[in-house]
Amino acid sequence: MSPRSEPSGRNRSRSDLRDWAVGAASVAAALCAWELLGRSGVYPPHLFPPPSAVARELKSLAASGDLLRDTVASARRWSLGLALGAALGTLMGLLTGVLLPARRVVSPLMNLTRAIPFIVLLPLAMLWFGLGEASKIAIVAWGVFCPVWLSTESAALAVEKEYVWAARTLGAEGWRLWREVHWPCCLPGVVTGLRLAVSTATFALAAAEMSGAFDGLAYRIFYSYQMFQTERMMAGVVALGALAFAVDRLFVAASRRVLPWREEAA
Amino acid sequence: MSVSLRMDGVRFSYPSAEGDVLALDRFDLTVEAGEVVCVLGPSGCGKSTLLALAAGLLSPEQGAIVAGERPVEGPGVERALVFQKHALFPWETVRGNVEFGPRVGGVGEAERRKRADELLSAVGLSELDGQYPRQLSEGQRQRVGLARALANEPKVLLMDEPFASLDALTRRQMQALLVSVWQARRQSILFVTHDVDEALALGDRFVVLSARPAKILLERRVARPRDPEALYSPETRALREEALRALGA
Ligand SMILES: Nc1ncnc2c1ncn2[C@@H]1O[C@H](COP(=O)(O)OP(=O)(O)OP(=O)(O)O)[C@@H](O)[C@H]1O
Ligand SMILES: [Mg+2]
Repeated sequence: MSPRSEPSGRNRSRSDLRDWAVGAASVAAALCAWELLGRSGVYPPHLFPPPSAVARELKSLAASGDLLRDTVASARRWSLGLALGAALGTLMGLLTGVLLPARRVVSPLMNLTRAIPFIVLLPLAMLWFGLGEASKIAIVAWGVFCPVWLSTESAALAVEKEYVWAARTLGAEGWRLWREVHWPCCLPGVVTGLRLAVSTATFALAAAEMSGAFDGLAYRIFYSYQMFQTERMMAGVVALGALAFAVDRLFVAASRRVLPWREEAA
Repeated sequence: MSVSLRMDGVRFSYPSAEGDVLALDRFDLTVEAGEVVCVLGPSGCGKSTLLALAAGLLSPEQGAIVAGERPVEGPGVERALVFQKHALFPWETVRGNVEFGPRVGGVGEAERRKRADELLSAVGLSELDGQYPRQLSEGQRQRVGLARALANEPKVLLMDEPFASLDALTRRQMQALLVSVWQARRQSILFVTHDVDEALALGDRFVVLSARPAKILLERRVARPRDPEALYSPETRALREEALRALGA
């Protein structure tokens, strides 16, 4: 095997392990640097608390039950919004990707509304859906809807004629053809769109919780900022970041299972 | 012998911005039941178009195409197409690809499995039935393509340069496989190739097409039986010369 060739088989897991170790080491180094800088007193500790202080704060948040409550509130909005937006986006993408008349009617309208950053729709969502959960879920769903729709649509438009032809000569027509060929061809597009949507969903959630919520991780961050509780604010940032990271990893693992035939899933 | 496939005065062109591309015009071809007809012709002359028309995937602008007794109005499972670029479904495993036709045709699971097992062992891929197409070599993919087409037990096999991308040895094996498949079931086969020796080895008859729009320049019968020595007999040698001349080689 030449030194530059792709690792394979047994060597694969070893190189995976190495990559993982390097990644962990770089995170640890950054944490150490932060800790040292925090303790050095170059910046006042109430503006720049070291990670040990943030960890202490995180622990006390966990002990009081606030952390769990905030996490549950955020996760609920996030997942409901994501599910709603993903379902509608997929449906819409298939519709405009497969049916030309539907694309003619809907696409100009959608492209126009899509151009508006979803953050500025937040006040409108609150007017329409009230200050409760509905407006927050709606804004997350809207943020998710657009990338999923676009990505599904472009996958639907790119279905290869050869596959359709092969399926037709093998006896698939109509609904069956759609189910057996178009859908599996679109699935990678749906997954790619969803992966993008996972981050826009977090973004939308943060925006929604910062304007008129009474719980949630982003609410906690913003509230602590107003109360000048920097350590608590940082603890919130860490918790939200960890959650988003975990969800992304989970998502990658799930998409490998949904698309086993892909070389690199999502 | 009854006629299995007949094209009568077929015309077909592809629309394009710089005017239509006429692929076939006033084209006639007949394949009798159980006959193997090989089609030779220069690249781009309309061979794939011809097969797509016979498969019912394209409709002729003029003329008629009849399969058995009935006019071809669309694809039908009695006419199977083996694609030039295999066109295996990447989301299905090898077995999933082979079982695709029977599955959409409502064949029961046990029967489906049995058919796939037989075909996979015939093409020598029993071990690989759980692999995805991307994990196979080009030759293995082409073999899955053949098995997939055979799974519907078609009366007519339309084959588009199916062995063109194989090495000489695998190609020989695949040709032998096709011959044994044909001996067992006597399908009618319309076989497109650019290899004169392949046409002489497989066909009861071969036609040589002109450049686009395709016209039949030469049509010859090849005698059976087809043992390896026969490929070097004076008669076959004369046919090869003739075919190569018609192809302009
Ligand atoms: N989808 C298409 N749109 C426009 N023109 C096409 C299309 N498909 C084929 N053609 C043209 O029609 C002609 C016949 O194409 P066809 O694929 O039948 O050729 P072929 O004989 O199978 O060639 P090859 O031996 O290279 O496979 C070619 O000149 C090609 O450029
Ligand atoms: Mg071709």
